[in-house]
Amino acid sequence: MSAAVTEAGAAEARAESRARIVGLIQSRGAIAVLVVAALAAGLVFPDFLHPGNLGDIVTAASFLGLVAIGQTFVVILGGFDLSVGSMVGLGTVLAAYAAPYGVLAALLLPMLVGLLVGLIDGLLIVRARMAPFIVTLAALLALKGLAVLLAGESLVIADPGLFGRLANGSWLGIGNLVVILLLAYALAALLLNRTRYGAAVFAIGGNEEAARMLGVRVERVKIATYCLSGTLAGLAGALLAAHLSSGLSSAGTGYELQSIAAAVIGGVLLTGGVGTMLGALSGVLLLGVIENVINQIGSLSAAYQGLASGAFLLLAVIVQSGLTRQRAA
Amino acid sequence: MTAAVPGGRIAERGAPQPAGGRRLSIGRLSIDWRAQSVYVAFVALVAFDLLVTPGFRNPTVIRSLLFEAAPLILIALGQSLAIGTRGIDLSVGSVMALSSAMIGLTVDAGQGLAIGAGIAVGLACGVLNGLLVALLRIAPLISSLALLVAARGLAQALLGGARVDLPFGGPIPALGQMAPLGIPVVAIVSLLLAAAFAFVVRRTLPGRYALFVGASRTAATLAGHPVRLTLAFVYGLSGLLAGLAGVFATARLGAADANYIGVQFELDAIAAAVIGGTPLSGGRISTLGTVFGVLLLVVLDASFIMNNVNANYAQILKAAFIVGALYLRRGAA
Amino acid sequence: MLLETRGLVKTFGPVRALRDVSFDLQAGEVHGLMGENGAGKSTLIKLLTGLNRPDGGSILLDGRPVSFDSPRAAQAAGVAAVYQEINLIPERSVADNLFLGREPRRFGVLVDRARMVEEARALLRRYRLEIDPRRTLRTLGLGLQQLISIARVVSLGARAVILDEPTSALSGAEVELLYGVVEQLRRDGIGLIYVSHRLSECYRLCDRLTVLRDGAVVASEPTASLPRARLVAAMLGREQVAAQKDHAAAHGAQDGPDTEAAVALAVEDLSWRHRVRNVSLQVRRGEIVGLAGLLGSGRTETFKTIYGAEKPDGGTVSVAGRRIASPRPSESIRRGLAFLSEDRRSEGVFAQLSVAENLTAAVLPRISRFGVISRRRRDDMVRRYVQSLGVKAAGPDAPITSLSGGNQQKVLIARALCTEPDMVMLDDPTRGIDVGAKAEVHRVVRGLAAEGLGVLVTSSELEEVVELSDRLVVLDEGRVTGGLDTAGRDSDDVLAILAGGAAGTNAPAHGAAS
Repeated sequence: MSAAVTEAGAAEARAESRARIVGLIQSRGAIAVLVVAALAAGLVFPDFLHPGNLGDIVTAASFLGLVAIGQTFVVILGGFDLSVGSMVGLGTVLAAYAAPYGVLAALLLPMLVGLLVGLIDGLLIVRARMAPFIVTLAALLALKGLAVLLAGESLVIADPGLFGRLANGSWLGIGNLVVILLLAYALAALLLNRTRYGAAVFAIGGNEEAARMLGVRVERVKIATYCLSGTLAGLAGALLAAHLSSGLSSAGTGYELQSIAAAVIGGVLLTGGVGTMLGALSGVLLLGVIENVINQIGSLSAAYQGLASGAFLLLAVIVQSGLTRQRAA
Repeated sequence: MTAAVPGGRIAERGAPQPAGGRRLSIGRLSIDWRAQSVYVAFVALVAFDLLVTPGFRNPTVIRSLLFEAAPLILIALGQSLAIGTRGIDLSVGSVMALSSAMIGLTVDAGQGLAIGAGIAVGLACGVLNGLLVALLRIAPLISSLALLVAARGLAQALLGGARVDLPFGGPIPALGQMAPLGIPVVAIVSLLLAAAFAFVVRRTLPGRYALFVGASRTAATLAGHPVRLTLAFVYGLSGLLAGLAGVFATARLGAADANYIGVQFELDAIAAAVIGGTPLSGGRISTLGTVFGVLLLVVLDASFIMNNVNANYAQILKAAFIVGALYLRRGAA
Repeated sequence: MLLETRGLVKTFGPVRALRDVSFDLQAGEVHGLMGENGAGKSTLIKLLTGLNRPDGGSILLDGRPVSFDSPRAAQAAGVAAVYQEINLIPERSVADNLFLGREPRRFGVLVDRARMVEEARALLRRYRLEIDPRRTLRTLGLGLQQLISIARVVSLGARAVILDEPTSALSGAEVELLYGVVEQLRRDGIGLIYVSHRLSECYRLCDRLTVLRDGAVVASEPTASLPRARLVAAMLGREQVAAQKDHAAAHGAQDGPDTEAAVALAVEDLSWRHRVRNVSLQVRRGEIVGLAGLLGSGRTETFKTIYGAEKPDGGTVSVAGRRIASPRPSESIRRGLAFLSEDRRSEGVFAQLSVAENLTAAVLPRISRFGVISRRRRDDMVRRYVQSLGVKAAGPDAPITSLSGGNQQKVLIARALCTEPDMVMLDDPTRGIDVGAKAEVHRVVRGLAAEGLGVLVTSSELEEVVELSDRLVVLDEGRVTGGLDTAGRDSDDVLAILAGGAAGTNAPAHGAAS
């Protein structure tokens, strides 16, 4: 090998190591911020690091967490799903309707409807070639209307029984919802990183045209991903209904944006093609910690939650654009 | 890119020219029905309402329709220019809420000041968005989405989640009530601004630059156009108009409310612009079409309500209508 | 015979893209396919890979006639192309890219990453590519990415691989690596069709060279028996050059440039990203200078860097004696430098807008007062240029897309002229327009010089540059390699310099004039 080879090799090695560092910041930065935020909160509020409180944080974040899984897939694919928030609301209502027919019905009905909504979204986006944000924003409106139509403000589940215990019970001292959330993320990480479907999602988000040339069935994967997102939003709705013992048409309001914010804070690029489930989970938990801290302060209203996630999202978008340019350089 | 349209002569000046649009030719008179569809749809809907909808002829109905339309017209104008540059501004609804929150915070110091603060905060948001797009080169969809979340959050935080009722007297309530000859002042202002906007878009440098950038960013750069400045202007203007729209909506409501004002207005604004003949592919804009797009949506809302359609059905139907309309328009690129 | 075509014919409307092309590729051979723009190379590739169907003739694989109706079918049969825009996923690892869609799996579901990385490593090693398969593809050079593309299609079973126009010149190291890959391909009995404009690369890599011109094979010989000069002559059509030359010489004798005239454009030591290397040239008022060079020699890049559309890494540009301090298009226009891009469709016309808007796009501030555009001044200007350039349009408000290609081009030339420049740069101004319009554009260009403007022009057809210009500046791989007066010189000189390195001159271009 000539001297030129080594020189080019050195330049490439530099590019590679820089890319690795930037990649680490992008995928693991949220964890670092999460840990720092939790420790800081622990210093200020002695109760914060109490296991009970930590469990509450994760439990409260689990519904958004499930939604964020689907959203992360969609964002990596290079799209958005703004319909998930309303789908959660509709999901709680459907679960409340189905609860008298058994736990399975209460779980499956919202998931099936979510699947159907995802299918319609996906078909409109893929076949009619409409912009994802328009399709899913319209779905947001329609689903909200449907939820109110079905339930009015709320629909109480008279006898939650097993369905209620599913959400509010615990297993080895750990809340069921925490277990479900962590299990869901583990499965999602497998799906994303260890299956051909996951590889196809990354490929489409990274370069749709190239993915098509490389033989990826782009349309099918896209539709499947919106279906996944809808189904998970339905599941989140069902569990929320079990948790609250009622269907609330206004439940999940704002989840569409918070789930995007969580994913992006966790290093998922809004331009598609890059992201990790661990990052998305850290984003979700970070938002959960912020909410918890705001509640601890007491004098601050819940309204600050929106400001915090908005500010973090804005910051994350700016930082990401800077990092991406760094990498490209 | 748009391919050359075969046989593409059109009679009307500056009218959008959809590829493969149905048209009716009688001698030299050629009408592109798809480009005119918003006017046809509006006339048809109004005719329907006049015949069928009980009480539609009542002047107070028209009055309240115009009150509804005024802020929406403003944000749809800003939206149409953003779309004309091949961008989008998803933040308009949240910026309205932030404007409302500023009014709520400052109203005790004087209503004139409060109005100024509402408009100024809208401008500030728009300029921030413009900087993100123009300098940091973040895609408008992404930057304005981030701003959508942040501005709404800030608005809610500023008011602590509460609704702040405004006093009964003074210029702000007047804006929300005054309607000489049955025509609300806010509607007159909005329509005058629409006329001014049309002039800016058709005849002035920033307006033309915006469309050139939308038609082909590379060609615009090579022709020496100030592309970044133009983008900053466009999003700044959109923010400014959203700020004013927030003032109008707050005045109409009689209260500053960050949870209610401007919620999901971005979809209406986008729908109005696109239905009115401003394709998402950029390079074209129709101010009159945008105004009629807004009127169409507002009348549609009213038709549902006045025919006693359940509000939730109405919401579903409207969402379906918007998707359908945008679907039909998507070819007009 | 691995892959063979017999008498292929393909027409697109009135254009005969391929006429009677017979071509063959042996197993284990590297076969260079050469030709200028529009020679028919891409059409041939499209037919071979199933993107288009031939109108006549046949394609044979292993001696049996085949017919592909999609790239996927061609790939399945063993014919695959690796295009210049790398069709891989930049954010994924090398291994991910190599195995996308056919990842080795455990339990039928989960991707076995360890095995995938090992298999990728083995595959790369086979082609002597010492790359960690876990590396992100984007961090590799474009040349390496292309090699990985080759490895992918070969591992998918391709036996005839078409490598289409590597965009950037392969670096010395990458050429070495390419050798390694080619060695292994030879051993494996895989045939490679190498499409490139870089003569030196082709001479180093290819066993045989086939030259297409105007859709026909004009030369096909073993590399050793085809000297550069003959290759270039075949690519450009030597007889034509000679004929055009007489015409040009006559033109030059009539109104030769005034060597005492003031300098309209002076470029010193201009560089941009290794695509433009230390380019220096001068254009005097009233002079038409042709920028000659093969495709890929950096003509367009040179224009764009002079114009400030690409930010130069070094060097200066002066127009009419004044230096352009901050290189960007708006500043260039202000200083009297106008530019016409070769890419009319995406860098020239504003497709949604009217003739008048397109024509005045570069002078909006000059026809406005307080930011308001004056309709009267705009229409005056449009009328003047439409008349003087003979633009045929229904009216100033007709959409630009309703015009023919030639008339669109005239509108764009008018856009450049109404900035009242001292210096005009025209990058392939007659590309894609018909013969009549071509002659009119030539007339306009000569008229500009007659009015005392400096003109720098290029064309994808060498004979056109020779015919139009008073003087040539020759570019090769981003460098000025020579310059000559078109008057009183033999066309062999042009060909000799274009053949690259043959003449070995590195004389600065303005040497000819000063």
